[in-house]
Amino acid sequence: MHDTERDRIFNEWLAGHKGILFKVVHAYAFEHSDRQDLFQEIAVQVWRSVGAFRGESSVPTWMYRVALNTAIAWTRKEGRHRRGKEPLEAVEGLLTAASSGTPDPRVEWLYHKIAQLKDVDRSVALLLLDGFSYKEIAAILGLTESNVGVKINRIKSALAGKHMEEAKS
Amino acid sequence: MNLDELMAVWRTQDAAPLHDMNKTLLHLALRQDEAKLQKERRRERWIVYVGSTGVVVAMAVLLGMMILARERKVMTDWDFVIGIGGAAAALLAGGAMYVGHRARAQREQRFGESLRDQLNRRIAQLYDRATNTCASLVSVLLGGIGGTAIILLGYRVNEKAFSENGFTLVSTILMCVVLPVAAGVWEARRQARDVVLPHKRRLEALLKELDGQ
Repeated sequence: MHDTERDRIFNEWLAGHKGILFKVVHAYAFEHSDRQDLFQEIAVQVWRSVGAFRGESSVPTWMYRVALNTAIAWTRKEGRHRRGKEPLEAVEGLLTAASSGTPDPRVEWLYHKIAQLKDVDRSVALLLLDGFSYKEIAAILGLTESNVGVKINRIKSALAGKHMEEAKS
Repeated sequence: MNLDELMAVWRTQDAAPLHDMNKTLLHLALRQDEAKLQKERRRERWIVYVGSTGVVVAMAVLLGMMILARERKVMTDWDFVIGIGGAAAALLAGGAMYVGHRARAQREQRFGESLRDQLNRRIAQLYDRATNTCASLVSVLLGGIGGTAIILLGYRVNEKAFSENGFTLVSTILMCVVLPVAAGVWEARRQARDVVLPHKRRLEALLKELDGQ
């Protein structure tokens, strides 16, 4: 695929679905510098994946798949440094604070709760909250649908349980 | 809050996202990444091209000189055996590296794109690295044999004995074959123990987490 064509597709994907990248970054990285680093890593992986996209799934599904795989690898210290590659020159200011509107404080609360889940459960929670079906979640993560069901029940009760505990206190 | 309420809260991000991005810097980062990737690939290609060409040219030159020297009845058939054997070993080393690389790439393509597939692919890569010490050593050994053959023929073409300049056949083989192989064994074992196996264990733990164990 020619670079200009790849750039065009990548820009279209970003324009329509950049929120997916922000959500994954916010759920898996907690310091400002880590978020910059993870965002850059995910963006690079999504850009590289453009040529491999065959249209067998929707673009949001594909972007979630790439972003979650990258984020989980990143949290497992599987970044460039561990692979013996030189890190890219730091691009400070790549990820910036939102310029439009004030985010709902309940969203931060939700992220805080998601951050307390295990790596894989965090992925399931993000996909669940974004309205993906059990079948789609299973395909993205390589799980059986019944396993996804078990995880979702656990996540629901964990989030509800935490909410109830906080409401009591 | 039930799931529907949680999802409604979650969707408020679509209208008011927590982050934004600098598109110019992003494209700069992508160009930078692409340039680094291309540079790495170019370097790998050049190492193979220059290494293989160097060995073939060296062998051709030495064999040519031997043929000319043979007219003076200086060279023996054993010198030709060494020359051809050394060239074959060096070419085999390059060929083995290429075939191994292709086989690994094909194995990796069999995996899909899900998280599980990604983990399995990475574990397979690490398994390869931890167990393919033998193949790497064969490459080092064959390369060493090629190097030894060049040195041997260099001496023979110049009609010199190995004892000159303090070099003997044993010390040459020691330098070109035994020491690189020993260093290769030591480094491969250290890498497997300190880097590859702990990394593989972490990924296997993640795979178990995926299975809900």
